[in-house]
Amino acid sequence: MLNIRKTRLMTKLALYETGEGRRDIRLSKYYKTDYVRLQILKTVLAVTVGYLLILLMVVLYKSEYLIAQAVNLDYRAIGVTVFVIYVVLLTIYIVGAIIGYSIQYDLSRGKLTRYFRILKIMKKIYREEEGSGAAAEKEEEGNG
Amino acid sequence: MVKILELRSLLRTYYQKFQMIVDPLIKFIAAFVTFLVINRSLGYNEKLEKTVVVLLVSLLCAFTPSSILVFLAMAFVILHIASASSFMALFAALIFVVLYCFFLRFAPQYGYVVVAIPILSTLHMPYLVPILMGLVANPITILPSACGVAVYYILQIMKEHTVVSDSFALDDILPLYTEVFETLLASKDILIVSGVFAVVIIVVYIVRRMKMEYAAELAIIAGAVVNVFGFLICDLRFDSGVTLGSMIVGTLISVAAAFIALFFKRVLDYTAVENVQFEDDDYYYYVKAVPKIEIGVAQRTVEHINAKDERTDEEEDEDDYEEVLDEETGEVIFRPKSGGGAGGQVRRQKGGKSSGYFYRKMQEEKQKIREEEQQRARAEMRAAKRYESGEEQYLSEEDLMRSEQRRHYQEEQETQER
Repeated sequence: MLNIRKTRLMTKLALYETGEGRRDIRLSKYYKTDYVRLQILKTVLAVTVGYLLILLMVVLYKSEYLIAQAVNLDYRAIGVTVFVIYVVLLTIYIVGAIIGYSIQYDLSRGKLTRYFRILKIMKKIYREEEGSGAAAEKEEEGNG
Repeated sequence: MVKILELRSLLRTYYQKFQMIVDPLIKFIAAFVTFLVINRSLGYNEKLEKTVVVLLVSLLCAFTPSSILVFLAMAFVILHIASASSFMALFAALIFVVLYCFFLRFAPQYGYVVVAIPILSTLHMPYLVPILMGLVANPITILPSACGVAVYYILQIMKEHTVVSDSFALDDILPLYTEVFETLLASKDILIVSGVFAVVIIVVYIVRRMKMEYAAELAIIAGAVVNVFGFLICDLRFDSGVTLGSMIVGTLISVAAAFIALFFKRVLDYTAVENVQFEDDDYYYYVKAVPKIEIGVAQRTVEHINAKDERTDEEEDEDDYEEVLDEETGEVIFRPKSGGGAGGQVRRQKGGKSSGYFYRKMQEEKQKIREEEQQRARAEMRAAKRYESGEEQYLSEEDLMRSEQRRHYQEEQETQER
């Protein structure tokens, strides 16, 4: 027979799992430090790609000047400037990522607590069902 | 007020009923407008301009997540530019990748903001986006909104400078590229508009989160004020290219639109019907979860018996007091209605046919009804006992009442005699 209470709880779980819970459940597989580190790695990669593309565009824009002055250019100074800008940009993004993704992880934990509580209740219901099922089987065997 | 409440409950009911149609329809209209605006403003590719293509793509967007709309809009832009100049298309694609790497990847769920700002800019009301984002989202939307502003200005610049040519020769493309890049670097508007939008988002978000009445409404107004003053200050200081007249009118329209959006958000928030599927060992479940909402609106009809106000001062004075029966003393106490009683004088009245008289009458009536009910219950129980023990035959309900009432009166008389 249908267990209405179980159906209600399962609906709540399913609603959470298909909605905002999808990301939270994905996050729950990581420890906080691991998750933040992974995101920092992705951020560093994205910023590096973006920065390289910007450099490419700037080089193309300045190509005439660069070709004309190829011999006289102070490559070391240019290199240092480019590197310093890159490091500053990276620092800003890494600090932002640490703060942002930590907050995101903590928020998801809060929501997951409720989810796990319902899961615990579900476990209890299943145990009760199993218990009553086993008892009924014993009874039947006894009658037989 | 009652009219608004009725309208609200009506909207909720209809939304729950037709949600399956309304949601895709709204997305379809949004997608259709987006592609139409892109076609009108760029319009280099005739194939993309065909109504059938636009309708089909919009239909696809109606049933897919908003990120698909963003992706298709970007694809439309690149394809349009590619029809004119392949190199410029490559440049546009590179810029989109850079914007994604630096801004959009941190808030991919708000990708639609990137599309909304350029589209609303053509309608002179991009100011709606930061106000709405502060109202419904969080300050992370600063990144996609900056992205949207950049996309709008970059497309404007490209539109101005794109010359139809299919050449990839460096001599042809380099001057064009240099020109576009220089215009892009010289454009202060991207920074100014992004900055003002960021401040608006933060202000609206902070005011909205304050614990006070009408926080959301005040947040919209605060956002609009910051928007207008922000652009005014930037215009005076940096000489921005934003037209002040159209900015003010656009802000006013945006405020009106934000109020409408707020109304719908309050009405339809958490009212969406959810369909979920799951299974256990025994069953497959297809559940339709409908949120509980109070739909019935209490209607009060106020009947004016006296058209003219002929009350005496004393009677008027009494309106400010509520009557409470002091159960210990049996007196009617007049307690001031407003101010929680602090500083107000409690007035007591003994006897007299004031409105307290009717209050007591009402209490007595209630007591009578309660006693009658108790009597009835007792009678039924006794009769049932007697019937079970075979002492008496089953009597009709009226007979039971009569006999019980007789017994009750007899008991009362006996106690009085004592």
